[in-house]
Amino acid sequence: MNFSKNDKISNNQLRAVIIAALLGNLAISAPLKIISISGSAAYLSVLLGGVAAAVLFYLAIKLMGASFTKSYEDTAQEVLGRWFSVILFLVVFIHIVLFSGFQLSAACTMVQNSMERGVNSVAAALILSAAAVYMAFKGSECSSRMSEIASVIMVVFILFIFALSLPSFDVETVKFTPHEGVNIINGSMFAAGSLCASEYVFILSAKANDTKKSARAVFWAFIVITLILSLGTMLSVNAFGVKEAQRKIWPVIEMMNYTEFPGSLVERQEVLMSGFYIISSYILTGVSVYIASSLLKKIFKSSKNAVFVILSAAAVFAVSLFGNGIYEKFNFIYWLYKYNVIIFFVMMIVPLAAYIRRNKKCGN
Amino acid sequence: MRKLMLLLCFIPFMLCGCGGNEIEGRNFVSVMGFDVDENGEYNVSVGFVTPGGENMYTAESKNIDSSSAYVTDKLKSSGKRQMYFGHLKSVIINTNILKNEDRLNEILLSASSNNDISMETIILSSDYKASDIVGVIKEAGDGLYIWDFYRNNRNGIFATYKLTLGDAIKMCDNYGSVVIPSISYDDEGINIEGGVMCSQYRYVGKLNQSAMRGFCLISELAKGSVETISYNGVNIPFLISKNTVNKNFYEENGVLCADLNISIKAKSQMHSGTNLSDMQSIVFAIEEEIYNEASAALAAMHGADCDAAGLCYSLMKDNYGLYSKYKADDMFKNMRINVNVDVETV
Repeated sequence: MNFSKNDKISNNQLRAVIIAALLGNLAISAPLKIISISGSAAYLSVLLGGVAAAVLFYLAIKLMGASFTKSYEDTAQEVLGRWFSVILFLVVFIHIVLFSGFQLSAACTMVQNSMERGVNSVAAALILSAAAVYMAFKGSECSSRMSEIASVIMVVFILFIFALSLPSFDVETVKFTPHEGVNIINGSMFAAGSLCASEYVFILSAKANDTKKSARAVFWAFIVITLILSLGTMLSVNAFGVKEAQRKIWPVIEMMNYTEFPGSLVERQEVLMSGFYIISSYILTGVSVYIASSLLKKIFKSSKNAVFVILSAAAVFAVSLFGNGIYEKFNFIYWLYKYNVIIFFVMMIVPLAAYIRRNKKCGN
Repeated sequence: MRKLMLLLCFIPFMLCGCGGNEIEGRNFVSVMGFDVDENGEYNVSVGFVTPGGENMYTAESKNIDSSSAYVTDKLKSSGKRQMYFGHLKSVIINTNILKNEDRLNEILLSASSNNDISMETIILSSDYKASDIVGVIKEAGDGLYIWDFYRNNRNGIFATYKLTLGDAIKMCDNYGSVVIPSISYDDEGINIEGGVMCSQYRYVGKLNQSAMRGFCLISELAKGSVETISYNGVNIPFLISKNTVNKNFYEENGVLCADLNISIKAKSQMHSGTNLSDMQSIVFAIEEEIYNEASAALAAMHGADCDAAGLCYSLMKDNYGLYSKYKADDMFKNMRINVNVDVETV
């Protein structure tokens, strides 16, 4: 398949990439922790945190659109200078490699668990990393075209399973009480952090061919993710109760196992869903490798695309080997979720600096 | 690059399969029974289907050298064929096990943490040895008997309900109590009636047939069951098509009170000559019957301090202020409960 060389994507594709890359991965790892913080009102935490993240990104990209027209990397070099931009790129590179590496580890462990003993998680991570090399090598359009298909299939199937779960819904279980207020706020801060995968949003939205509308595309992508994640969390708590949902490693996915398809359409739907999450992981890894390699190219002022793509994929795969399981006491992915918001503000330096510089120029 | 991609696409096909065991190498467990011996170790009985075997359904008992309920892993590979729990339909727990502290919790947790075992698995208790029940099910046909019993005798089940693994865990976690339907057998086959009350994962008492029926009514579980009343020497069956309970909590003279307003819609096939006064008398008779059953259930639950209907949980969700005022271990025991019944016949 041939892809355009200008490395641009449409706003629809931008929305699809964010949904496909983040929805599956967040559904695997985030709900467990949010349920343990917020209890039966975890869905409210997801809703509040998700809407906050959507609004934050909307404002940030509006500011970006008003400040620069080049790619994020080029603008950073222009406004921060060579060495400051290198430091920024290094920080972002390390974060993206850690983020996608631990997500990959969680997704592959999930596949190993749900598919009995058939799949080795390391082998699955290796295959996904290798496939991501191809996608990253082909550029942003390759991942975005694939995301367009994957996001639609994922969203439709997830909503279908959710709809099947609704008849057994018990409102009392998910009712929240006033004393849960503090937990809901704590949980929403964690949910907002989980959704703050800033590098994907900032770097990809600058590649949209109509940057004026990219803020809206990103906003709706986060709203879709938030609504689905919130509904999934609510149904999981409803299906198992709070304590059992906290004991489940993948509450949303196991809730899907709990829901029976009519007429045995699919015997083990959690395996089907695992497949979708693997696609989501594949897209996240591919996009991560693409962004990481583009940052490396800027750091080393080199155009050796293939070398940096392979290096980035190797780094992501290496990190995935150190993933310490989603239910361990200290889990890296939870640690990243908690401090993701720092990267948001670090990356915001560029649009802010560009905005100030532009205003100064206009003033002069 | 295209050849590489093609190769990558084929690799996943090599990674899938039945986990090293084909269908012919598996026994499909459909019933599992838990007994405990005098040393506190589990005696686990399994009823399983062997594909292509001479006897399609086989019942086997194994003494598992384990004081914990995580026995499925030990059973999985204890024979030539692998025991597969993906088709498990029911788990039967001997009442004596329930008298041991935390054993119920152990069994429920081990079942729910096993990815193969469905959360729809039916949980039953029995005064009889679970191994005997598994054996009786063998006589009744294949291991799906209990599952089919619930599916096909929905209208015939008038004194019990289907407790799934998911519901049992949810009730224990949310309410701290659960009522497990009881299974027994006689010459004619198996019976599922009455139940065992457990509070904090421990046996606290029994519900007889009438009280179990009352429990179903106050827990909104009676939809689809049949209530029969005797009027002028004639038995009139009523099919309950709707069962809702409105709970209203308040305090009176320093006592926490709850009104349980049970609303029932019942269908009956009375002959066309039934006059209005007869009709009203029949409705009163049903209301009285339902009131008696609900009161019997509440009396038994009060006596055992078993809040399996989740009244304290409902109060916490509805009125947290009132809940925190009376929040104590004996909250349910000290709660004054009034039952009101309203029956509408269609």
